[in-house]
Amino acid sequence: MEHKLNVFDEKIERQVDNIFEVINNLVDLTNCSNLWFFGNEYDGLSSVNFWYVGADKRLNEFAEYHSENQGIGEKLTADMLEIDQLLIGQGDRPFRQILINYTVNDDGGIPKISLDYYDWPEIGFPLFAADNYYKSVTVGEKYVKQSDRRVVHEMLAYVNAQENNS
Amino acid sequence: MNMKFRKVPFEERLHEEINDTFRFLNTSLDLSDIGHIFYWGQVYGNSKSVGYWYVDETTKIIVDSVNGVNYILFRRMIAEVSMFKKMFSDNNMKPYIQVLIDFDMTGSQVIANVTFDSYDWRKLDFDLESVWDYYRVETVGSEYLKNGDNLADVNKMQEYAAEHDETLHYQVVVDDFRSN
Repeated sequence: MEHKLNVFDEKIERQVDNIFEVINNLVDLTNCSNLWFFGNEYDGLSSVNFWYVGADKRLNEFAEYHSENQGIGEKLTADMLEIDQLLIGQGDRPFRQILINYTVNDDGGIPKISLDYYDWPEIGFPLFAADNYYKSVTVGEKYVKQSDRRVVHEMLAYVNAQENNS
Repeated sequence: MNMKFRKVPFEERLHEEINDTFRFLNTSLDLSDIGHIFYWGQVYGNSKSVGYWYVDETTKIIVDSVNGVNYILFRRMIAEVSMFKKMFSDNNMKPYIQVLIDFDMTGSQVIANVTFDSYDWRKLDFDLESVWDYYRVETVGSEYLKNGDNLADVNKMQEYAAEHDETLHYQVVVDDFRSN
């Protein structure tokens, strides 16, 4: 990821905790030690997702497109947009991707936040390929469908080339 | 594999969602000098409408989200309409169409009086503007309407509601966020 964010702002921290609370209220996280929240914000098109690998090694994933999950998606989207607004208020540039890794314990989730600014469609990748990219870098490419892996490899190659240039 | 969602009892989920609703209204708006704020939502098939209003005690003017609301607050209000819908379907209850929450802040605790109704106003041939005015009249009275164009409709709707009770009422004590 391009940019690691240390949470120092109380309001941002509250939103980040809120995302965890929303998920924790809805999903049984007793078998989850690492939860990943991913938000994608692109010119008013936004999407959110979250996932974790369970004790049975299977990937558990949120499905925003299921009509009954719309409310949860909307809630999480609003939290993500608010984090973006708060960062902009601090003089930061708007992010395009936000990844939050919660280390889950009995008391809640300890967040680590990363922000990216990749303009995937401009670079030549489908906007929604980002989901697979972040799944691949967080829990491993075996959790990405075989047919989607080629695109993920190309995205990784692009990111590596960028990082070597900088 | 899609995630399995926890089944939370109705009352518990209602308490959470009402608290969430109050929390985001309270963070986005200055509620310090307001006695009541009303949140309203409608879910009709795939289309959703939302709003809030309150009476400014000093000017005696109704302040209304119709005049513009920040985008994030709008998304949060829409989200709650869907969360309530899910809460109903998770509990195999007849879907609601309108939700109205009166957050009463006049006492030492914030009390939410919640009404879900299933009046199908569209089918009864009332337009959305009359529907909005109906809920405003029900909560703050007709003197706060900006114009009386829809009053005849509102009266018809009141008559209909008096004859057909399609409402569910709940009272929820809101956890105290006012100091935030």
